[in-house]
Amino acid sequence: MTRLLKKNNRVLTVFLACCVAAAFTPASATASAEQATGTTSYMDQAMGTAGQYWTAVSDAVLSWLPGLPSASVLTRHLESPQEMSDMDFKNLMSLAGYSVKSVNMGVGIVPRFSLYFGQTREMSDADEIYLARLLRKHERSMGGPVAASQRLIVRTIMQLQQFPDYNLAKVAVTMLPFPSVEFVAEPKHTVLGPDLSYIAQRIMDVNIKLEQMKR
Amino acid sequence: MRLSVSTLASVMAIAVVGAAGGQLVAAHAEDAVLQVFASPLVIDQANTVNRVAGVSPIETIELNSIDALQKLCGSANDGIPSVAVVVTKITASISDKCVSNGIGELLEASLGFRTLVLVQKASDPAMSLSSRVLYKALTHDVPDDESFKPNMANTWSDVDASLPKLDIRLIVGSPGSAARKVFEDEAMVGGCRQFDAVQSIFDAKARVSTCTKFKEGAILEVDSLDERAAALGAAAPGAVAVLPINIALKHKDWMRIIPFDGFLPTPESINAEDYVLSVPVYVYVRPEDLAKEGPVRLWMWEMLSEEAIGDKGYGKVGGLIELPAATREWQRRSMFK
Repeated sequence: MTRLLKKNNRVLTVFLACCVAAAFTPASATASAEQATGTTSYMDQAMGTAGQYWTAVSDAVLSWLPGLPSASVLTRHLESPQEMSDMDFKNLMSLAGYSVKSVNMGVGIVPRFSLYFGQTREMSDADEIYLARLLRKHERSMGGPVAASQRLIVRTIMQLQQFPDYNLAKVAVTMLPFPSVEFVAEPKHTVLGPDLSYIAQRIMDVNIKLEQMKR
Repeated sequence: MRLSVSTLASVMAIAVVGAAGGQLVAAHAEDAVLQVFASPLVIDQANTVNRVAGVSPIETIELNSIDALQKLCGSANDGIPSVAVVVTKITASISDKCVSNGIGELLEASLGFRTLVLVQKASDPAMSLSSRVLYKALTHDVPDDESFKPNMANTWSDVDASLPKLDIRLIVGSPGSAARKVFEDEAMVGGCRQFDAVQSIFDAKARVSTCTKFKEGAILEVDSLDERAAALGAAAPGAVAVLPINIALKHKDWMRIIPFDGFLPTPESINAEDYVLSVPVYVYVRPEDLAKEGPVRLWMWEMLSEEAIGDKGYGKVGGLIELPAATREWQRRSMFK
């Protein structure tokens, strides 16, 4: 039984680590949201609420599993925005051209918490060179699963942006209930359906006729 | 054993090249036993290796880094062994192209860093410049909250009160040169990246165009490196030139290297990527070309030798900043194991 409990503790520890590792310091999200929408106070409130909620959930869970710290790293990040450096996740995502567009949280037995990043800027060649350099410096100076997962997300974005026909429109980073990252790519050149193609063809025909009438 | 033979051949070849006035070995594609695709910023390093590697004839083709890598990945069946010397790391899409063309993953080695420096006349008051200051001094329009206004700065002190009251003037290569691109990427785009008004422009081309539009009269374009150095000597106090580090060191009796973003170009600051007016230089080869005895192996042996990229190598004389000795040795062992 003790062994099982220890095993559970380890599993939860990994889970919590993954939650944080899933990608970002939530304070980053707050700051990004400020840039993206200008709704600073709403985002702060939302993050604070999420932090309090997480505290309640984690305290409830931890009360059944002693041996783990009662206040999670995540909570502290959610409740107190930190000073940002060049190499924090918010700045890396911003350099990749993405800022927080929305936050999705749900209260229940299984809590939900996701952040949606939208593209705010295309990357130039110079931005790519700069970001690649920052990631190399990040790798040299910051170890651990959190930093590794942050780099993984940003590098994936950089790779996906190289697809000529698709645009990486949205990145969803989920921390709860299970850490995951979702990339949504949209075609750059939308193919018209049969109905719309027919309409477009008729418009072209009209334009050609008008051109002929002018002559 | 091979190293000593190669080294001897290198020394002899340098002597022959020196006597011949440094003429480049060139060849038509059909005659060449080796093709070297090289970026403009590092083609001189490639040419020096061409002369001393004991491989002849070599066809050298100047291409930008991406095109060079694509060429290396796309020409598997033309029968001529090839290498690429570039200033960009291979991208995932090009690597995929290599694999899909049956070439497999290319082998990569780092050669060091190609470094540019900002210099001023030693007789001028010492300056330290940042990307932010350079952008604000040289740009056509400066960000003003969320919009732009014409740049009215005429002296360095107009931009930063700690700088001398001397006219702003930059002497640099013309657009399209690799050195100009490094300066624009790191100093101009790097500087304007710090302003929200610029960062709010979605389109990358429009943003870069805004960042790299120079104020009229602020820059003087001189392509020849010797002429650029001479232009700095003849310029009014306050002028700053962009030069490769080897040219600056050649004129160190009257030139002073200016710290950029707080760093001077030392091997430590460049290897740590704190000094950013430099680009890493890579060489790429196809694995099957390196596996067999032949021109690629000979050429690579020379390129990775201490004579080429060591701390006293001819690469350093040509402006290449070396990697740490342990990294160089590890790369040689990995490549020729």
